[in-house]
Amino acid sequence: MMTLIDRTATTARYLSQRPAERLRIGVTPHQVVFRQNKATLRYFPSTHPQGQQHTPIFVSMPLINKWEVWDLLPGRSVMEDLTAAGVPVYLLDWGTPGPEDQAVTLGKLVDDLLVRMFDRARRHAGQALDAVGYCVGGTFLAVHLSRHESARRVAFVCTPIDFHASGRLAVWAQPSCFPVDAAIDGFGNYPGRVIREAFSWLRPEGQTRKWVGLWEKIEDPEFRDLWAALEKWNTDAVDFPGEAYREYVKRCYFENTLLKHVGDPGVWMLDGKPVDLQNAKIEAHSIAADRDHIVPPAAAHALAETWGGAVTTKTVKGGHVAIAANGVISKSLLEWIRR
Amino acid sequence: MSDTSPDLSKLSGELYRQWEKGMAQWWDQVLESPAFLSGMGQSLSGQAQARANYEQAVDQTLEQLHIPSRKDFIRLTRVATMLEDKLLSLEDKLLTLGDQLAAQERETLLARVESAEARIEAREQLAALQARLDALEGKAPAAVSAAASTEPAEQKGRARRGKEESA
Repeated sequence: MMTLIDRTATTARYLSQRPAERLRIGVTPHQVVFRQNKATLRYFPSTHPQGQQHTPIFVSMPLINKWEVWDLLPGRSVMEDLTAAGVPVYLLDWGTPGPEDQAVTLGKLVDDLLVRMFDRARRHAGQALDAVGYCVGGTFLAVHLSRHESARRVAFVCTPIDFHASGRLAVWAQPSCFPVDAAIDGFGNYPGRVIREAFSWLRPEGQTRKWVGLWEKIEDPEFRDLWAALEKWNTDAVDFPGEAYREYVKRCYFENTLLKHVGDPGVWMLDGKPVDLQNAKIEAHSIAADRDHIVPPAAAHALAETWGGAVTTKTVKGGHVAIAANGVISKSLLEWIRR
Repeated sequence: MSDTSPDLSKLSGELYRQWEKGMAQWWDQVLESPAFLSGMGQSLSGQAQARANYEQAVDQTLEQLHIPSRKDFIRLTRVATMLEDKLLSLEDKLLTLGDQLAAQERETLLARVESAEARIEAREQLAALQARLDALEGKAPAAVSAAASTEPAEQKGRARRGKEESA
């Protein structure tokens, strides 16, 4: 048992070593099969002793974070779990946009980039794919699948569909208090550091809890590594392409258009074509976390009200990011894959 | 001051939880208040404007010094990105053409296989017919000699019937 002073000193010593900087995340073996601009298609082959056991999956990660949140550490990796179960994974890493990408539109991402990425993944796999979307990567995937027949079926993990049910984020992202036009006109791309700060202020007590948690479990090397891995991932924020962000905020947060259908007033016209999730006819599965303060279950499971195909839902225990690190996403996805 | 003192440890834990709960409630009020929201929006606009002004000033300075500015680099990289996109669109078309060619090749191949199979079947039928013909030809000499032995009697019979009819 450590004394309070010892514990504090050990924590201070540990932090002074800058553990997050020394740690490597995203180390599950994989290869890059395709690149376009900053986006990369990463292929994680099956590591099952008998090779591929299930249909390969295509994963659309969020644009606002690095993909490594699904591959934090050995033993704490969704990629590792899926490939070990015989599921080859094609992961879309959207990359870090530069100033030259501020004119990239949402239509370009959904109707062009995603189409090409799916095409290359399907060619590489030599068969049809299942799709998985996480957070806003899932939102874009939903829009894409309502316009293109790219996958056999789809699972959405913590994916916002009813944006007005997004808790505090929905309160903040209102036209009266969020000057998205001024922000994009000034910044170009929407800065990742602003998004990160906004997320951390969604639950300010979470910031103190983070440090207290480390202090309490400083003796546990596994916890320390996970803490450092999450810290590294969290500080590595990614900018959002400006024009795409403008469209995303206006149509999703301001107007909540994913719940609207063709014929409804204010339906979202993306590149001259309406966005109507009812046009998607494939089977969908929505996974949400009960303590998710970014995408609460109500915001995610609204998929059932608007999706054209059959929808099943599952609520798991945990938070938005925690479920990636504690094996809950892997378990839920494998249940869905084996269905 | 040791963790082995359960009372102190419990007390400090409880104190922290109470403080955290109080702070969370206070933050809940602050973070959703109109004043905070308005301030946040203004701060964001201000930051964005400051950033735009700074970049404009840097660009102007670089232009005056005849040094390529950030804008120039952005323009160049944008052109490169567009070129890449065009090349990839061409690659898409080539891949689609390749798919179509492969599909046609598959169809042609299937047609050729079917035709070859039909020819093999016809050849087999011909061979079977030939074999039957050969078998028939083998039986033919015996049938001819048998026919020859019965022919004179038949001829005699036919001649007799003719005479009777004429009488």
